[in-house]
Amino acid sequence: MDIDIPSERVKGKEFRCKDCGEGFRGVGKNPICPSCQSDNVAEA
Amino acid sequence: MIPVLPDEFLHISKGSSFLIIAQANIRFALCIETSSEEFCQTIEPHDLIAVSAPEGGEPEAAAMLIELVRRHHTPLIVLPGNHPGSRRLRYVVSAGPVIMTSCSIHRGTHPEQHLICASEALSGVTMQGVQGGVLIDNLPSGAGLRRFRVHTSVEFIQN
Repeated sequence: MDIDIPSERVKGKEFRCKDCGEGFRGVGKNPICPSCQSDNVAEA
Repeated sequence: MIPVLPDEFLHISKGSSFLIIAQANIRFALCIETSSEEFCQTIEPHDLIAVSAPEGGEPEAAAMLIELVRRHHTPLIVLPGNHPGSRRLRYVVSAGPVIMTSCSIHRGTHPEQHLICASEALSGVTMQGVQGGVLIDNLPSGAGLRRFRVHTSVEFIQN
């Protein structure tokens, strides 16, 4: 059994939540807001 | 695949060192705090929360750390490299879809969640969360695998 290990360093992109306005740096796929847990976010 | 129910923890041990892993069960944003930045990583229900105790310790304490992360969404604090407090950390936590143990990193000082510090005896183990359980690769010969549950409740005392 082989399991792929992601090798990238933590970088992330800036996002803003469209529901609560929170700004945050998200890493990985499918970022969600750390304040309200909404996935209605967009790159800032 | 090793089946792990939502209320179960998987205990992997060799010698005195151990790893405890559990599935996140819910989707949430886990915040990772370094000395200068905050990163927020989406944790999916099948992702893993792992705790490593390279010199051993109490499985109950490790399970509490997992619950702090997955139930209470406690942020993970990352120490700067070569921070003197690194050697005080008896338990370290990582969370994500795939986590690999390594004995060649300084505990508590790396924000990358696909790595977790472990003893040499448990180094190189790869764990992946999947529907209903965990895939484990490179389990060392002689390592023990057990599942357990923790029952916690608060009972307020009447004055």
